Amino acid sequence: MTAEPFDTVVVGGGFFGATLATHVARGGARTLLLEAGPHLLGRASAINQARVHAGYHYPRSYLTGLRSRVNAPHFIEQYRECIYDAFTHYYAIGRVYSNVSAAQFRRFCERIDAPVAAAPPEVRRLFNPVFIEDVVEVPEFTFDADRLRERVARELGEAGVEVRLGAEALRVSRAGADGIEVQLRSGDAESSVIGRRVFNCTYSRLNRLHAASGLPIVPLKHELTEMALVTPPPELAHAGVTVMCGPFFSMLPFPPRGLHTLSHVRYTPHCSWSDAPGAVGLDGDEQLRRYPRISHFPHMVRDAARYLPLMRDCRAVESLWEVKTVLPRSEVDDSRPILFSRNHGLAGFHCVIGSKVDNAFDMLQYVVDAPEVMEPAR
Amino acid sequence: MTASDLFVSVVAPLHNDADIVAAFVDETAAVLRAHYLHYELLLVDDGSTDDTVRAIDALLERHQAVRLIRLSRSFGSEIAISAGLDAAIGDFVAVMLPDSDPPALVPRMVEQSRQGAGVVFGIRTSRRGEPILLRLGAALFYWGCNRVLGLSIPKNSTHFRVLSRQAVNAVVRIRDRNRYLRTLSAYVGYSNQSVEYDTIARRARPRTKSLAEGVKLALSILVANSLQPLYLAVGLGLLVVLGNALFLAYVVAIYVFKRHVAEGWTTQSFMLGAMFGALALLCTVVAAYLARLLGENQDRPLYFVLEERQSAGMPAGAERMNVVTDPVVR
Repeated sequence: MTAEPFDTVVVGGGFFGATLATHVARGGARTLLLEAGPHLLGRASAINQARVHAGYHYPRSYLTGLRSRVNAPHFIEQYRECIYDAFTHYYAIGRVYSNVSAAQFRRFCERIDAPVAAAPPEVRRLFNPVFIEDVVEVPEFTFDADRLRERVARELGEAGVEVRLGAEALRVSRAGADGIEVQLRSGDAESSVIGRRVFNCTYSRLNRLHAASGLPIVPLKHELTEMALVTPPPELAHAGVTVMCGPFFSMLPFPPRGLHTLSHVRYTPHCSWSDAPGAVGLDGDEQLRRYPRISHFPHMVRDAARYLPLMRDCRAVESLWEVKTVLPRSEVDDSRPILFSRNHGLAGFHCVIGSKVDNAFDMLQYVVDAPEVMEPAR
Repeated sequence: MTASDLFVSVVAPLHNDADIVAAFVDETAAVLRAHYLHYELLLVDDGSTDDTVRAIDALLERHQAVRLIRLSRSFGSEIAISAGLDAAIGDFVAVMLPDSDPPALVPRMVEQSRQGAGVVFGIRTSRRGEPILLRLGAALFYWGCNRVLGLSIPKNSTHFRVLSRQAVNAVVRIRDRNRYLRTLSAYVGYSNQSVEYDTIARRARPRTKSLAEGVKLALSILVANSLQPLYLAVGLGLLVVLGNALFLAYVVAIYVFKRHVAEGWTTQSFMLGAMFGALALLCTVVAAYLARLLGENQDRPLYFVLEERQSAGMPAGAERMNVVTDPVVR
């Protein structure tokens, strides 16, 4: 039933899991990547705003802002063909209900050395001065998830990673002195593989694997989110808009569909639940299937039009639904750290949860390259 | 916009309303749910010191589309309403006081506003239950405002109202510190219509203003909204100056034409008259410029636009061809 053990088994074929698999395979490890869905990068890696965070988004968390600022150029350089930059990105600073003022925002950008330029008057005029204090133009882009998927798949192949699609990891358990057995289901068939190291990169499903394996539960908060795909008003066809920093909206180009995404801090999350130690919350995939999916687009567009009146002309095409997972502590300071739990209840079993594709470098550098992780577990 | 596309917001300021907030939210949410696909109920907690917020937390669990904004301290219900108007996203925004305004009336007022009224405001049919002196004072206030001061405040109008998005956008542009929604929504225009209604009482003993509070409110509404009292003072000052001039002429005439004048009377009278006249003149000038200053200092938009239209015809000369036959620039 089980063949020769793998050096590394990565569970979860999102951007983090795939990048991690490629990285360790390049180091010579015999690597297997398991993905429950029909293709790689099919879930939260693709279904998000596709923002390549250049730091501007986190004026309330200096570290997250700074790391984004440092990582973005690397990401853009490495994935050049996946970057969509044929638009101008405007950040508008809210006047009422905003957590930062325009002066604070500019100071923050100065501190993390992120360039900002005043938006031209014809753009400023589009915004409602009662609610918007300042508008700036920033070099921040989006990525094309389809191209990223192709690129990641090619790299996996070149690095010699074995990829199994439609293979869902059910349980992990100790097998022998230095092995971990991963039980799988592909279609109706169950099987298992053995790895000396196993990485759990399943994001919103992280704790489900832990719970089934009797491993500790990581406190996580899940949100069922809706992102509207829209045709923007003609004036904004080649623009992205992010309103900072509070319960506001952003509208960014979404290259795979040739449309824009409209998301809103208040209306994108439809409901939420938490995993607490000892108690795993709802099954996110089950929620996604069962949720009635009544769109919040009417809310989003009305609120957006208060800041940017021409958003009235924005038309909804459809909505993308996904489970978004954050660490509970991020809610306080808006930071987006990567969680890495080494030897999580089982020697050689590590779990990683990130929140943005563009900080995968931090993961590789600080997490995977740590010697005690790559050494055989004892 | 069809009725099903309508988005209706309800804004309600709360201050120590733990006892009634659940009943208010249940009833209002039921009305909104029955009439609209898209709605929100925006509760603004104006620094309550009782269990209001805890009561609302329980309601947030139970109801869809309820939002809570908590102010850092109590700023007064007018400011709380402004905070709600700033945050509301609806095409029509209803403002209600939770203890006295009937939610069942909201759909009718929204419909009336949809027919073109920028503001549909409530007028209570009776002031029963209020102290007799307060009722008399109120009558005097409305009479004085409308007849003497030229300040149009419909008699017995309340905070209960529905504003169109256009009217809300205009009201939020006015950032006066002393704000009275009743005068502001009249100030912005956009055709005001009224609806008469019977107030309800969610409390067995409704909170009513005392006479002293009523007088204070009346005075601050007057001072914030009308320069008439200052202009009246200017007029009075001018009359006094005129009277003084006549008195001085009288003193001079006595001195010239009368033979027996008590010693010192002329000097004394002339000095008194001249000084008071000068004082009155100074006060008048100061009052006049003060009025001017206050008027200029109100940082309000000059006007609000209802709509813009354009003639349907082609611009003159459009039939001419953009062709030149003579290449030389003359």
